[in-house]
Amino acid sequence: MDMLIGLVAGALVAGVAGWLAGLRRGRTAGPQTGASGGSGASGPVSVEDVQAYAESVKRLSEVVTPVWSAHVESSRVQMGESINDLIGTFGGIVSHLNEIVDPSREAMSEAYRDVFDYSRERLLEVVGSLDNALTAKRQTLSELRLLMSLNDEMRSMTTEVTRIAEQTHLLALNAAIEAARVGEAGRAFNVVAVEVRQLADMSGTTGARIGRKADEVSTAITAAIDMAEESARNEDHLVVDANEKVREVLDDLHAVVVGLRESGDQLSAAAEGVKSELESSIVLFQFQDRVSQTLEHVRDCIDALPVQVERSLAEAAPVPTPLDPDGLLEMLQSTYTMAEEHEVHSSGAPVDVHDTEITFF
Amino acid sequence: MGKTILVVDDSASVRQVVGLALRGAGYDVIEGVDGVDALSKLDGRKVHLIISDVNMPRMDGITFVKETKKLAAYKFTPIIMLTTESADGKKAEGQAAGAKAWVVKPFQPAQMLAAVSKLILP
Repeated sequence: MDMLIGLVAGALVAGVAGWLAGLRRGRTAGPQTGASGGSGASGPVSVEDVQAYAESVKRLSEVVTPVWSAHVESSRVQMGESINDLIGTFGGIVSHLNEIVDPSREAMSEAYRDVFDYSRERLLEVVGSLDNALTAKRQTLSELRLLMSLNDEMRSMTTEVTRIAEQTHLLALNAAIEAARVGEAGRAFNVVAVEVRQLADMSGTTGARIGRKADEVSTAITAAIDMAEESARNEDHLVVDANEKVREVLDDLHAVVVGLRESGDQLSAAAEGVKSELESSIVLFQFQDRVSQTLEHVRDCIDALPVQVERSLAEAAPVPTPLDPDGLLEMLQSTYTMAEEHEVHSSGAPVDVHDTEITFF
Repeated sequence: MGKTILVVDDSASVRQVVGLALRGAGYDVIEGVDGVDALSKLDGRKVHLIISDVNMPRMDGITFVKETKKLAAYKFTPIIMLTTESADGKKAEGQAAGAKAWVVKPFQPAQMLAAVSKLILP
């Protein structure tokens, strides 16, 4: 657009200058045709005609060129503000991506790992507690079996005691018979034999009672062992089942954690891609600075036109002096800062923007 | 604490683009809208490098470089000129004023960051 305005302005300046130069030649060389004079009528051109045309040119420069200039400036400012806003918005997005994605990737991985580790520890603690309980139960069972073994020994001992008591009773009976046979001399011995027999009877009775109690204890221990073994078998199954379930839960949890981590990584990679694209896009917005400068130069050149027209009309009234399009172009060229502006000026065609050029001193 | 770079340009868009590239590389960035404003930012704070435009209102970049070199605290602060100007005469002016590099816009962030990394004070 800036180049178009520049070309239009240049063409206008050149056209007006040429027309006025023609008029000047006409004043000395005779009447001009409409084709060369541009008045649309043949015959002599009067000073009043020239003054009227000059006045229209003056009005053109006073009325039209400020509008051109205002449009150029308005476009330049609007573009600048919009590009600034866009860069700000893009920059904000990049900044948010930096703030959110980068820490979240680390934090998410940390959080996943922490949750998994914590869950595994807690679940293993539960399984460990079950294992400990089962171990304690096995120890109790072992103690019960030992107790059973001791009780069996005790039962055996009571049988022995009963047998000894029976033999003692038999010996005491024999002693009593022998005492009776020897008469008075054996009376005292008979008393001892009777006492021994009574003691043997009491020992036998006590041994029998101990044997019965041992049988009862044995029955109770056997029942306890049966119950403990049944319980241990059940708890064995429970622990095995719990271990299996914990392993399944941990496997599931691990799969979820891995899935979340992979999703997070994919999200991060996508965000990185978006960020990179945005950063590349932001760099392209540098065109605004170059276009703005070019528009400024064109605007200044347009603003110079009314001044030149004013000067042309004031210097040689009633017939104006020719305008100076070459001077105007030189002025425009002198404002150029970019190589591209010079190239466009000389070629009259769009050119590509040059690559970055760095010179170290 | 990151190193600080002063970016001087009357174009807000250029300041933003340069600022984004530098901040993305971990530098702290302060901005000046022209030479006068930039000189007011050289208030004793540590500035490790300056990137300045050439054509600016109130005080142009070449004058700004000359004024900066008069300040004892910033006499040795490296300055990169970032401008659309590519004329050799202007480059010679920048070199004579004390600039260390001349980058013609549009710049590529990677190249700019390489130049910054090469010149910035330790």
